[in-house]
Amino acid sequence: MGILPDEIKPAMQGVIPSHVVTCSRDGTPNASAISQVYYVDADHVALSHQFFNKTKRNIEENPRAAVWVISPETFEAWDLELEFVGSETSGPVFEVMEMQIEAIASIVGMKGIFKLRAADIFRVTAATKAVGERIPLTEIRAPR
Amino acid sequence: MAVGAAVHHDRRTVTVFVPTARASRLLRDLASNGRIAVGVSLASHEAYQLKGTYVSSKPTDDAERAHQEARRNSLLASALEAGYPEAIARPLTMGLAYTPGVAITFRAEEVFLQTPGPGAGTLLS
Repeated sequence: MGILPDEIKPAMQGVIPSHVVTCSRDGTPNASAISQVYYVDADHVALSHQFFNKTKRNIEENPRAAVWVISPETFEAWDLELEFVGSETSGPVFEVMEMQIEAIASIVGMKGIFKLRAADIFRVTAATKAVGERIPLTEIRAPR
Repeated sequence: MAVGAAVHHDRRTVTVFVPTARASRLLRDLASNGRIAVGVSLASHEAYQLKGTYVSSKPTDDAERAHQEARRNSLLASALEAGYPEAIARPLTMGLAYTPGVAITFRAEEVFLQTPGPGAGTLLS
């Protein structure tokens, strides 16, 4: 059994942007929104390399990243801890991500701006449900 | 995920409000390193990143919680205006828990543009 539970998969469909945090060699953090954290398998995810050059540079210096994802179904959030494995610029993961990025770009009016340069593959070292920072759906009142 | 922030009169000092549930590891890291990066964005995708140095933290007070409630409401309005359906926008924004919370103050030293596009990453000030 892998680290990622099945219930996390909806959080990796790109419906709600995710966030990625990296750190340079000198300890300076960098936080960035990202269109999608792609589920590769129960132990790996792929991050779309589009514009975030600082993230890319940090990963080259320090191959660890922290990611926050949220499910558009349950609105539960998870923290993932990642270690960089390698970049792919072709192959099935890249092709599916490219197609999904184009779809997301079309939906959010960013067609022609979102462009996948590489699928950066990471091994998931920890996945923790973020407890206490989300109000359960049943407690959120509908508008009157 | 922080809920709300306030820029002080000097326009260099910023306080960001973080749920206590999220704060413990953050404060541990800040105590050991002192460096902070905060991403701020609108539902329209306009986004910025502030980088700076940690100054202090304390539990949020009533005035700060009122500010957070207002920011959460305006975030919902912003998400709806940007075209997010109500079924996503409302639980996403109104589901942000902000109490109990911690007010984390830092000195902003750099501001970067992060709106998706060729200018992303540009140092603004």
